Amino acid sequence: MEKFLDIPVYVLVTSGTTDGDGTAADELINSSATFEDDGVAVGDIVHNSTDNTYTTVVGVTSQTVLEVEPGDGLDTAKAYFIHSGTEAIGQLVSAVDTAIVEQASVSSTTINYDSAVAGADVMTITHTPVPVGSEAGRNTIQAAIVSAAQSNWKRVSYDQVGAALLAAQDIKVIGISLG
Amino acid sequence: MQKFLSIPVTAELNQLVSCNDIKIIEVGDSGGPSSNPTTTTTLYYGSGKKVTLTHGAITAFAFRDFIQDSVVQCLQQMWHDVTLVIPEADLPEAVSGIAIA
Repeated sequence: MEKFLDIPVYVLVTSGTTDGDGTAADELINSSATFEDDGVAVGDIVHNSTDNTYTTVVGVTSQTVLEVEPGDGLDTAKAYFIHSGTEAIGQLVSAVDTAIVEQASVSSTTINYDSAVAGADVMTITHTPVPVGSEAGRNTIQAAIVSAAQSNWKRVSYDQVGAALLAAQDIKVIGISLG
Repeated sequence: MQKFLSIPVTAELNQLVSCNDIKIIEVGDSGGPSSNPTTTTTLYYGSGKKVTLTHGAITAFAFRDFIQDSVVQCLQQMWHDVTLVIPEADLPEAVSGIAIA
């Protein structure tokens, strides 16, 4: 019986690479950005993919400068991705044939399927970080898989996982990939 | 229990696409979500197979969401309703081809 988790993925608003040092002033600076036109808003999620760190937009200073959380300013030459803090689109992820769920890192949870086929056996869910040592992402996904499996056969898509992730550690998913 | 989407393809009548063993549905072709994201949508199966639908250009995620909803609807049907026939008028954009890799 097919079952899916309907996981809200917070949409990408814009991305780029910093070209100014914003560490002292708690800023993200990109002289070629158009943050206001792109609709970047307070509360949006900033993923510094160069260092794999996360922060939140606390102010849109101009088209080219954002204010971020204290102590989280980005240095120059950092690749970043800004995701909406409020708008998400549901993506279905298989909840069957699961072998194990792992908290792979503070910002990723993997669903490892019982499949011998490389490229189709690990679903990586990238999310805002949980505290070091926390297994909140894993625990929430595990519980959702169990609930999905327990649900009526006509309930093919289990849509309570987004709320559960938020309730667990304010976890917001920013990407899902199979590989 | 086998379930299929019956998808109208331009000049080819309808083609069946399996709804079983799908792991994820993504925008883009078999090269990944960043490859032709507005004109292709790919279903990834547990076997490693990928079925790519080529369709008219559309806002990101709209076609993927339509296919996701259709797969769920298909799987909710009674056992003897093996196919979910998608009327051409219901497609967000016309499908011009379906390929497996």
